[in-house]
Amino acid sequence: MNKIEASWVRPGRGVAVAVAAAVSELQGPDRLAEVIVVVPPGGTAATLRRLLPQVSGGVAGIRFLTPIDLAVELVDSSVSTMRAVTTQLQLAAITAVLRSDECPEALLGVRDHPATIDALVDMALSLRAAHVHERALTALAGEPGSVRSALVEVVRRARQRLVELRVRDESATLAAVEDVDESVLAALRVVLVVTDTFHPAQVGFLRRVADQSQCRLVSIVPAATDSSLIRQLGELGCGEVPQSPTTTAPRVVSCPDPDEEVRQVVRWCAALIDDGVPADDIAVICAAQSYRRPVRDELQRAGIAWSGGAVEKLLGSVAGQVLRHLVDGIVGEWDRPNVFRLLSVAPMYPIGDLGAPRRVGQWTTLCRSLGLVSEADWSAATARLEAAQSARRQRWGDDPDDAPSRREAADTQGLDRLLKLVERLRNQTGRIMKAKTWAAATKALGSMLEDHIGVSTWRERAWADGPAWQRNAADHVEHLVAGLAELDLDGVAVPFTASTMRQVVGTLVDTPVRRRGDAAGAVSIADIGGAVCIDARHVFVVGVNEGVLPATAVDDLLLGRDLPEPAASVIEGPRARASRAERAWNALLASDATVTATFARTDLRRGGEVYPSPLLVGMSIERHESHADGLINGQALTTSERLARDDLALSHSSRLARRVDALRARLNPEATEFDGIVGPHPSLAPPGKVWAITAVERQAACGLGYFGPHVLGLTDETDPAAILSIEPAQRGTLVHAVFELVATEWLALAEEGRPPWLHGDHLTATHERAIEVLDQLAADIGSQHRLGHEAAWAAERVHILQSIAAALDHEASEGSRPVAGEHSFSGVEVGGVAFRGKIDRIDLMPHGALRVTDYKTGKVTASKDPLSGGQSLQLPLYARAADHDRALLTGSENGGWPPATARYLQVRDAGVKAVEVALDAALIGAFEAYVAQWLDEIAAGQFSPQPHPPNGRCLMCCVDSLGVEELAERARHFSGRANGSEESE
Amino acid sequence: MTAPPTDSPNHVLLPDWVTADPGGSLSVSAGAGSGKTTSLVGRVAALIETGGVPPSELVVITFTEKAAREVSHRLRQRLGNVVSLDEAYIGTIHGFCQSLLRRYPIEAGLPPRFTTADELTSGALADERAAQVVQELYNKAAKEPAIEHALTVMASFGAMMFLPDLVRAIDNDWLRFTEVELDRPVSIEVAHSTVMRMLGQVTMDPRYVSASQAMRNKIDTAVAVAKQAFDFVDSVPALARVATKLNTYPPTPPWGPLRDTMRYACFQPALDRLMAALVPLVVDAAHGRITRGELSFDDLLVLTRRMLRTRPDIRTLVRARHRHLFVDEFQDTDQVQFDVLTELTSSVAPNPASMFAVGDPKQSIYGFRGADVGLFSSLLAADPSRQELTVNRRTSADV
Repeated sequence: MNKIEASWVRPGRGVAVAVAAAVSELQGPDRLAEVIVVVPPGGTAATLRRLLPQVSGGVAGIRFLTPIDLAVELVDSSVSTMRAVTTQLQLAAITAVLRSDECPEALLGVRDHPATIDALVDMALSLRAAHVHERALTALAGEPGSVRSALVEVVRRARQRLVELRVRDESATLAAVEDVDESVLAALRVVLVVTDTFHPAQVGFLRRVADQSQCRLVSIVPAATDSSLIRQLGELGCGEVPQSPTTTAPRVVSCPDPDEEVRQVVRWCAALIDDGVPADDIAVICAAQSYRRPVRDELQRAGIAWSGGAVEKLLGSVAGQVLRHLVDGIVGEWDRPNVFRLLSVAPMYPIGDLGAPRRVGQWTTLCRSLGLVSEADWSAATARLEAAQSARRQRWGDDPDDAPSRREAADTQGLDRLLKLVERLRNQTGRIMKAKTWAAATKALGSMLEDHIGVSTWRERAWADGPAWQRNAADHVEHLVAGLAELDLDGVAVPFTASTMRQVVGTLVDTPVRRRGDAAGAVSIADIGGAVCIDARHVFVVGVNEGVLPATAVDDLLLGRDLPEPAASVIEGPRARASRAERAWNALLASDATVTATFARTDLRRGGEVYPSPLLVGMSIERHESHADGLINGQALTTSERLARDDLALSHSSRLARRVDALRARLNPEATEFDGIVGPHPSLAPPGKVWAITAVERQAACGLGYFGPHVLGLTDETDPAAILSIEPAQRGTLVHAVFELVATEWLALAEEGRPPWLHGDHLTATHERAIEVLDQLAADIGSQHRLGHEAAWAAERVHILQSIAAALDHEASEGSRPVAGEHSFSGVEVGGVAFRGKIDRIDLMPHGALRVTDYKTGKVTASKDPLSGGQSLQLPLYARAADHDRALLTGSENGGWPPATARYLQVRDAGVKAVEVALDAALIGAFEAYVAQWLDEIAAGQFSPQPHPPNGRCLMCCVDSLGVEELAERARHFSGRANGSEESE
Repeated sequence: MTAPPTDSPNHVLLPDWVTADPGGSLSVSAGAGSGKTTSLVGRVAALIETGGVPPSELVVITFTEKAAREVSHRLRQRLGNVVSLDEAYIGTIHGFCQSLLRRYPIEAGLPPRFTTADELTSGALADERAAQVVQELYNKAAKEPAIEHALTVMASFGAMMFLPDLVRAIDNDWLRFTEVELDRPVSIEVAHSTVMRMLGQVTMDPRYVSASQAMRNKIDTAVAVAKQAFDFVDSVPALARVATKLNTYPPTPPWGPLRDTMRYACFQPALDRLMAALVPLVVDAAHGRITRGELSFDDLLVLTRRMLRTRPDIRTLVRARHRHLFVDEFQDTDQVQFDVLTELTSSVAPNPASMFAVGDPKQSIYGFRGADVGLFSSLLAADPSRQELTVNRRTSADV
C-alpha cells in the first residue's frame, strides 16, 4: 500500500477551499467531469454544499456520498437490487426470533417486554456493519451462555432470517464491495474528506479507495490528544500527521440557568444580525440534544430564521403524535380525553363532508358543560344538549318554540360534527380490530392517519408555512405505517393484534427524523457532533457544562465503554461518540470563528447547582447575572420585548400592547396595574351598590382573587373527566341544599298542623327525607360526572348521610326551631353600605333570640381571631341581618329580644361540631373596620395579590404569564413596604 | 473517642484515624462543620495514594449531585492529573444503582436497555399513576363489597383525598410488598366483634373511671350508639364521634391514648383491606414500567436491592469490583438505600466491601423522602471502632 499524501487544513472554511482545489485537480480541463466527495457523518456535507459554490464557482459534476452509499453503487447488482433492510423488517425478525424456540434461555424472562425488542432493534442497528467480521461478533458476545452472548445471538439469528428473505444490510454491502475489482475503483475520481472518524467497519473499503491514483484526501489537522482520529488516518494510509493547530480561547459566559442561557445566546445572535452580520455566518452549537428545542423556539420567537441538521424523534412531530394517539384510542377507547388529544394535534385536514377545521376548543367547553367524559356518554350527548338548552330557555323565560339562538344553533351543529367524527373513528377502529393480517390493519390505520394529517400534496400546500421537517416527518410516518405490512412476511411474520400494533408503533416512532435546512440566510443549529466542520464566523456553544460536554459515558450492557478487540474495529462504541464531541470542540477552537461558550449555573431539572465543563478549566469566565439583566441590558428578542424596552408606542394590536405593558410593568420598581393596582373607577364601587360579603372576604384573601371573578367575570371549573371523587365545594353545595330543603318543607306546612321540629316521628321522617333529597340532587350532579367515580360516590354518600344524620340528631337535642332556611336578605347596612346575602339557617332559640347557622363541610376550629384577619366576615353580618328581618321571620317586633347569636356548624367526619362566635362589641367594631378597609381598597382599585399557599393557586395567579413566583415576590415586596410604613407610623 | 487533629494534605486538620487504615470499615459521627467531606476526601485520597487501590474499586455515595461534584472537584485538586477518577463511581446512590442495573439488566429482571425518569419527572409520573390506581381501586370496589365498605370507612374520616398519598407510599417501595406477606385483612365481622369487645372494656378503663361525670355521660351515650349499630360500617362513625368528643380534651393521657385507640380500631381493618387491594394494582403498574423499560427514580433502588438479594452470583461480582464504599451524609439514608449498602458490605456473605460512613445524626434533612436517622444511629452503635468529629470548621471560636 502506498503512503497517502493528504492536504492538511484547518477546520471550517479551509476544508472547502482544499476540497475545491482537489476537485479542480481531478476534473482537469473537463469542468463537468464527475467527482465523488465522500464525507463522514455530521455537518461536513452541508458545509461543503454551501461553501463550494463560493470558493470554486460551482458544484457541477460533484456528488456527495457517504461511504456506504458509494459501496452500494459499486457492488454487483445481485446485491444492490436486494430489498434494503428497514426498521420494520428488523423489528419483525427480532420479534420472530424472540418468540420462537431459538430464543436463548438467558432472555426467556424478558423476551415479551417491548423494551427488550426496542433494545435489540437498536443493537441490530449498532451491529449493522459487524456481520462481516465473525471474530468481532464473537469477541463482543463474550463468554458463551452469558447475557451479552444471548443478545448477540438473537441479532445474528434475526439477520439470518432477513438474509434468507434476500434483504440487504450494511454488512452485505461491505462484504460485496470487497469483490469489486480494483479497475472499477481506479476509474473513480474521489475526494475523501476526513473531518471526523468514519465508521470503523468502513475503513478497509475507504483505504482501498484512498489508494487509487484518482483519489485525493483532505483532512483537518487533528488535535494531538485525538488518538482515535490519528489512528484512523494511519489506517487510511496517511503518513506523519502535522503538529496540532494553534487554538484560540473562547469567550466563556456563565448564565443563571439553561433557559436564560439560550435566550442570551439568541440575543447575541439578534445583535449580530442587527449589526449587519449575515445569519448564515452565525451558528449555535448544542452540547446536548435537550438544547435543540429551546434554541429553535427562541430563535423562532425572535423572528430569526434557523436551519440545521438537528434531529428529532418522529414521536415529537405532528404526524408522530397523531399516530400515537390513534393507536392509544384503538387499543383503549374513544372517550373524550382520547378523542380530543387526537383532534387537537392536527385539526386542519377536511374529512369528507365534515370539513375542517375541527374546533376542539369550542367542543371542549361544550363537552365539559354537558358532562361528556366516557365513551358511553356519546350516545346521550344530543339529549343532554337539548335538555341543557331547554333548561336555559326556562331559566330566562324564553319561549320554547322560538327559533334557536345563534349560540344554540352553533352548539347543535358543533356537537353533530363531533359525534360524526367519533362515529368515524369507532368504525375505523372496528375494521382494525377485525383485521387478521397486518396488511388489512395497515390499510385501515393508513386511512385513519390520512383523516388527520392529510395527504402529501395537501401538506405541501397547507403546511407550507410550517417547518419543512414536519412535512418530512409526516411522509416518514406514512411510509412506516405502510411498511407495517412487512410484518406479514413469511419467516419473520408477527401475528397481528391491536396491542402488538401499539408496541410496534411505539418502537417505530422512537426513530429519528432528520431536519433539513428550511431556508438560506438562517442561523445554523447543530449538535456538537456535527460541528466539526461547521462554517460560521460567529459560533455559540450552549450547554458547556460538566457531564454534558463531553457527555458522561454510560455503562451499557450491549456496547460497553471499552469494546474488546477485534469488535472495536467494526463497531462504534460510546467512547467513539464521546471523542466526537471533544473533536468538534477542538475543531471549533482551531477554526477562524469567534467562539462564545456558555454554561448554566443552576438547572432544576438536574438537581440544582451545576458546574462548567472541565474543557473550560483555566479560562476566564464572564458572569451574566439574571433574567432581568438580559431584558434590560440585552437585545430584545420579541416585538413586545423591543417595544417594552425602547418605550415605543403601539396601536395596531391591543393584545401585543398589553403584553408590552406587562413586560414594562415587571421592570417597574413601583407597583403597577399588573401588581393589582388598577386605580379607582366608578364601576368598581358604584353608589348604591348592594354588596355580597363573600366578595369582600375574597378581596381580603387576595386582591387578584377578587378582581378576576368580580370585576372581569372570570370563572374556573374543574374538568369532570379529572374528577375522581366529589370535590369539596360540590359536597358543600349538596349538604347545604339538603338542610335548606328539609327546613323549608317544614316551614311550608301550616303552622297549626306542623309536627314539632325534629321530635319523635318528625326526626325519623326528616332522616328519611334527607336521604331522598340527597339522592335527587346527586342524580343531577352525577349526570355531569361531578360526583366522581361511582364507587367513590357510594362511599362518600354514606359519609355525607352519616354527617347529616348526626347534625339532625344534634339539632333535635337543642330545642330550637327553624324560622328560615337559605334566608335571602338585602339592604342590611354596614358603615352606610348595603349588603345582601343568604343565611344557611336561622333558628328561634328557647330564650327568644335568633341564631344564625353557617354550615361548613370543611374543618372549623375555634380561633382567637374569629374574623381570621378580615377573611371571615359572614357571621356578624348574618346576625345583623337576622335581627333586621326579625319581624318578617317571626312575626314579632325586635324590641326587647336579645340580639341574634351566630355559629358555624361543621358537618363532616360522620359527625357534627358547633363553633359559636361571640358577637361582642370588640368583634363588631373590628368587623366594621375590616369591611370599610376592604371596600376602600376595592373602590381605589387596589387588587394586590397575596402570596398564595402552596398548591393553592387560582386562575388569577400569574396574570401576565411571566412567572408566578416573580409576581408573588413583587406582592411580598410591595405589601412589606406598606406594612413597614404602617409600623413606623 | 475524639482524636487530636493533625495537618492533612488539604491543609485542613484531620485526625490521624481518618487515614490510618483507609481500606477498613469505619463509622463516623460528625457535627455540622466538623469536616465530614474533608475527612471523606482525605480517606479516599489516602486509599489511592498509600493503599495503592485502583479508583475503579471505589464507590463514593453522596446524597445530591451537587455534593458529588464537590467531592470529585476536591479529589481532583487533591490527586492532580496523575490519577484518573473516571473509573471510580462518585455520585448519588440512585446513580450507583442505575449503573449496576445497566450492567446486569437481565439478571435484575429488566429489559437489556431501560430509561430512568429524573427525580422531578418521576414525581409527576407518580402522581399520574396514583390517580390511575385510585381509579382502578374504585372500579374494583364496584364489584367487591369488602373494598366498598373499606372506602366508606375512609370517607367517614374524610380521608378519601389521602388515597393517592397511600398509593404513593406503596409505590415508593413496591417490591417490599411483594416480598413480605401482608397482614391478612380481617373480615368486617371480625373487626366488628373486636370493636364491640373494646367498647365493652371502655367502662373498665381507669381513664374512664377517672373522668368527670359529664365526660363519662358523653362516652356512655356514644358507646351505646356504637353498640346498637347494625354493622361495622355503621359503628365506625359512632366510634369516631366518641373519638371526636375526646378531641376537646387534652391529648395527654388518659384522653389522647383512649382516642387514638378508638380511632385505630375504627380505621385499621379498613386500611388493611385497602392495602390488600392497592398493592396488586401498584405492583402491576411497576411491572408495566419494567416491561416498557421506563423505570422510576425509586425503582432503581428497589430493583437493585432485589437483584443483590436474589442473585448471589451478581452480588459476588459487584463486591469483587466495588471493594470500598464511602457514604457521605449517612443520616439521610432510608431503609431501601441502607439495604443496598448492607448487601455489599455485610460479612454474612463472603468478601464484603469496606464502608466508610460519615454523617451527622442531628442534621437529617430528607425525612420527607423517608430518610431514617435511626439507621445511622444503629450503624454507629454496632461499630466498636466508631469515631467522632467534633471540631467546627465553619465557625470561628468567637462564634
